Amino acid sequence: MICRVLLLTVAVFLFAPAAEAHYPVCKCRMIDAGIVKCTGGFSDGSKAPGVVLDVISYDEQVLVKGRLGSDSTLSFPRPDQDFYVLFDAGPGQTVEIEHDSIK
Amino acid sequence: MSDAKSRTRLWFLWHSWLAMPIWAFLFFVCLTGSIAVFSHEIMWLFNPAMRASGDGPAMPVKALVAAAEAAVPDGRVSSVSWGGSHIAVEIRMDVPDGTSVSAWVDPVRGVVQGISSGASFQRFFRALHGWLLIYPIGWYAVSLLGIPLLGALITGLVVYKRFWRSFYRPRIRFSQGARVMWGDLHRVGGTWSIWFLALMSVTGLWFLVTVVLWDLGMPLGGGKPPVLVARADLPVVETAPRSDLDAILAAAFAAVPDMRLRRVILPAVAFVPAEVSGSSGQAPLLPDTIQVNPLTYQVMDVSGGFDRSPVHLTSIVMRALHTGDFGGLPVKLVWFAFGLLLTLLVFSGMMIWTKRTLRATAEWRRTRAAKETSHA
Amino acid sequence: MRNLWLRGKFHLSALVILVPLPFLPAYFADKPLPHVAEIHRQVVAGPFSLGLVTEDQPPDRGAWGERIKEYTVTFRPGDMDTIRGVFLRVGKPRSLRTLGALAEGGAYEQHADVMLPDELSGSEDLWLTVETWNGTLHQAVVPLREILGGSGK
Repeated sequence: MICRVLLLTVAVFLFAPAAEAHYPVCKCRMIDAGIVKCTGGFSDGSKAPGVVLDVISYDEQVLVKGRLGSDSTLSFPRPDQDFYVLFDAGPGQTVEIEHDSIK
Repeated sequence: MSDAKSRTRLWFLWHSWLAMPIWAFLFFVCLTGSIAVFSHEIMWLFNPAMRASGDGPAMPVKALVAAAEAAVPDGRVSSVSWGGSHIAVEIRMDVPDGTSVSAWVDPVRGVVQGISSGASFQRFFRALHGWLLIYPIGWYAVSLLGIPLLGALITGLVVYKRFWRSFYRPRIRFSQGARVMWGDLHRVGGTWSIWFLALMSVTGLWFLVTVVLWDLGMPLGGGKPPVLVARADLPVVETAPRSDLDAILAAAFAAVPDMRLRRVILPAVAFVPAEVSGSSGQAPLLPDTIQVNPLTYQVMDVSGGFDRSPVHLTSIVMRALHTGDFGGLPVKLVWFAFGLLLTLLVFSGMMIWTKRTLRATAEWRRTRAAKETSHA
Repeated sequence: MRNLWLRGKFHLSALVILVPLPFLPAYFADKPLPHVAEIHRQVVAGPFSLGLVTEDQPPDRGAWGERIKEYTVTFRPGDMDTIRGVFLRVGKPRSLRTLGALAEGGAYEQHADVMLPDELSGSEDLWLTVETWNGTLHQAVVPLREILGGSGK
């Protein structure tokens, strides 16, 4: 609650919104039998074009090295092995999504 | 009574009833808002530590910072702000209990003139005006006032026939009793502040829109992804390298040469760049922010002018127009004066109301009742 | 009495001015008073002893359906001279890129928005990673249910 007050204060009143705090968000789903589509963004509603999104196996091999397109999404064929999606907007600005939660 | 006259009368009643039941609340918000515009200057008036000594070459910023850090044990500089040539440089520092203090440093002599802690007068009035110190209820209550304000403006323009005459022939009769005087004041003041009323109600409603969207889980966004220093770009050292503030500013000015400097935010965390903000001559409503790597002094991002998403631009412009904080002291003076005029409008409206509207309402009800009887 | 009501009822909106009064003391206190109860833990990560604070409230749900809990990390004087940053994550980080949410703020108090799994088994741990300027990582582990707030769910 206090955090929200602060955030809104900062966002609307104190500075230009460049300084506001927000965290990254990401969702992935199957758009057909073999294709995963991930959408990234930020909690304040901002979009994330050009932000890094990698698909990484559980033994830490990068399977897909990507960046979100201008629509803040990236589609890729679903790997056969266990993997996680890493939406990476910089140090400490990451979202991880496990393969078994992508349906 | 003719239908046209009766319609005018109805508009008049609408005009009165829009603000009257909440007049005291509206009065309070207008008054605190006017004070909030000028809070920095009011503080400057009462706190000699905030005054800059005057002309002369400013010392390097690192000398000001060194003076501030020497004055506050374990104080760590988090931002440096410039409020204009008459105001001392404000150096904000984090202190070990997790709060922060401000050191006011004269930019010419490099002397710490005073240290203030806790919530500032400025932030207090902003909170009192904006959300009555209680969020989000207060925020809703205050920003909803945009509706009666806009309604009062529109109905006022309909009721006051040929209002534009007040522009070139303002008339305030002080000698014909209180009701006439308050009425004249209300009409002339209202006419002259049409633009200000429209501005305040529209920007106020914008704050309502932002909070509604926020609470509906549809925040406006429009910002860029964060800019961060990559781990690979950080030096491997035992203790945090000192950053040179003057070099950060030099890098920022190289990117945006004609900027009026307002603030530098210095990160405590290695991955976060320093942020310089100010406004450039061409577009005072649209501040520039420059992110600079605080160790390599490489400019990482420049956001300024119209190079922003429409939503982001709207937020910035709405905020600037509401607060009058975009053109230095002259604009603030205008906003302060019209804010007080608006406060006076609310008060004079209430005075007229108690002297006139109650009677008018009763009369209108009687007329309508009579009409309905005669039509029946 | 009736007359007083008739004449005075429209001045009642002046009562709104009383609304900020109860919040005045908190506003002018040297340190902002917490509005709700907080959970405090002192955690040790290598040479550092850090405070970990969160509101005793269940996690928030964000616009994307994500569950978020805000944590505050506090430092002792001098800590930030050697610390690059502090990261928080539910579960052990699997790589340098996945240390979790970076705490941001000042030299003595920083905040991080930590994303929680949708379903909690109750056996999760909150991992706090301190990265120093020489690249060393120091970690601390706290059972999540002890520092989750609300009903611990």
